[in-house]
Amino acid sequence: MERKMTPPTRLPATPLDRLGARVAEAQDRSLSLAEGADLARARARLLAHELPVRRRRVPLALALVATLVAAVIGFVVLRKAPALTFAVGGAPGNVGAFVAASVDAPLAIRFSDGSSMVLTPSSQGRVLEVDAHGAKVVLERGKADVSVVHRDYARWDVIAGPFDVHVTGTQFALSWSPTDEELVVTMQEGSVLVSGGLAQTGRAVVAGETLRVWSKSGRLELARTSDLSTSTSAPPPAPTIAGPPAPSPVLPPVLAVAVGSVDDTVAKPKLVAPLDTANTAKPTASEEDWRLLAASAKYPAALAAAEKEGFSGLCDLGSASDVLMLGDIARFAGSGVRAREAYLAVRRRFPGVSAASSAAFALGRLSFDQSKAYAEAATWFDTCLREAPAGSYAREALGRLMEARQRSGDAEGAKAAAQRYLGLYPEGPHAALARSLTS
Amino acid sequence: MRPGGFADDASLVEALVRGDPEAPNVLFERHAVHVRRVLARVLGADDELSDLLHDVFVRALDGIAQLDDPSTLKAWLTSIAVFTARGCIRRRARRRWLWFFAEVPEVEAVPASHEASEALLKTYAILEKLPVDERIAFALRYVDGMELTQVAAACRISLATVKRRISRAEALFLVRAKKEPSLADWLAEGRWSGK
Repeated sequence: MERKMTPPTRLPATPLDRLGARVAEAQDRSLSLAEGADLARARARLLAHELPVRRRRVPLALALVATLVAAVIGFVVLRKAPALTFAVGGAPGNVGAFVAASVDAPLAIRFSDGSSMVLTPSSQGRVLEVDAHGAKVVLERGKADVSVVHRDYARWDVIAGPFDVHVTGTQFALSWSPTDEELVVTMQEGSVLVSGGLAQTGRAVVAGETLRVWSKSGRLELARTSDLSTSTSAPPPAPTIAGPPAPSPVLPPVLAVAVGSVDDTVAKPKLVAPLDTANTAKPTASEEDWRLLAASAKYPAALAAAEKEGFSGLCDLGSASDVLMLGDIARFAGSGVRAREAYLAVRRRFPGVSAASSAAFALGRLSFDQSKAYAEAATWFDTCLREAPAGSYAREALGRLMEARQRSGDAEGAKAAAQRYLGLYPEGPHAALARSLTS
Repeated sequence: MRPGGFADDASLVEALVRGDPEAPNVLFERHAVHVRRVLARVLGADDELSDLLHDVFVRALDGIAQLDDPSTLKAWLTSIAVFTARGCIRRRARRRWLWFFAEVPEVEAVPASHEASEALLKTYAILEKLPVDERIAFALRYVDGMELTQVAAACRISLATVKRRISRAEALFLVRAKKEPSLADWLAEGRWSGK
């Protein structure tokens, strides 16, 4: 629901409105950080027809009796669920201690809830943290077979280099080479969420899939494990962008678009996720469609073409200028949600470059024009100005900042922006408004 | 995805009722960001957000045939999100009471790195102490910025009831907020009622 701040020309915003606006703004900033991971995880579960966890209702009378019984027991022995314990090769394990398998035998780390992590020969790791819900384990190098027993509130993380594999209940194999900076996650059961490094916003990997990431060359690949059985572990020499994805019987369509095709008939995995424009392959004819349509100002058609290719996937893969263009296309086509997704992708993937400040300006404009979220808009314009004080959007951003502050009820902030504006752009398009605010 | 085939929510609902295999994906694409935000408005920072988002869409897909007016799809999803969040709050309250049976997972706190984050944290800390229905009405009205009629639709209650709930929530919030220095500045001036 778009925030509807009451503009000062109608009714003055109350202190609660202003507080709410500020809270919403901070919350939106916080929400945007995990948006990709949350949406990917929920979408993957939804499209895999996974049912929600049904929480049992406890009849009140039964609950009262049970509470009394539990209170007696609880005060004596169960005040707090104990942390898991673990053993390394049969001996009690120590949190934080370095663990290494010999060159000729695996080494098992077994936890008291039945979960285990078996290091293959020559592999190394350590158990970083243990609590009642699970553990945080590091795979320093080599390969491990991980089996996590599913329980309510189970919380397991396996760290490998910059990657964090978040687990709730599953079996999978994980390998990490710090030398080659190569991560491989092969799922046998359940699903995991891999985040960090190239998978910054989180990649869901489900049973039957293998995720491979080559950090050095900036490549990421998700494909069916069966399709990879004949391929080598080395990355193919030249990355290519996957074309329009074939319908997948396993992956939901959008997920398949986001991470690459899983066409059954294609044995070779397709590479996705180039890191920068230098590594981006020439677009295929179908990829050009949305660009050509945009160049002809056919924005709804361009958006539809981009959707056909997988809008989210394009945001994850495209160069900064392409993703900015996708945002503009969506905005001109009237899809604020898609526009916001693209601009946020630019900010997430290309921090510190001019495209990021352009995206901040565009986000401010979206908040201002479409959502009427003036406090949020002011934050984006301020960000744009801070990142690129002499950039091409500087004058407009300062004018809009002044206007957004005024509409959000921040009279002092608006006046300060107005003074700054008049100092820099006395003949600018916002000069009249600035003078009215400073008089 | 086939956005052209589901140009509006009416055609999307028709496709969902028909069982079009692409429709659930489009439904999620089109409304997930909004639903997630509504859940967050009611609950604050919450590490179950992704699970609850999933719950909302499962419930929506289960009950889509009961949606009388397809053009109200977004409002209908908003209402499901509100009731899903409400169920979550009540479940946690019960679990806190029955704390012997299960540990309540800790909610990840947003780092209070600046003034706005501090206001966010303190606001939700106070909202957690309010009765659930007052808390929801307050969050939707003031944090999400909904109009009163939208709050009423989302909570499936009358406008008069919304006004009563918000009025009670304001009073309760004020008492507690005045004790929080980080909120007091925001509330120092002007009148209280936003209705």
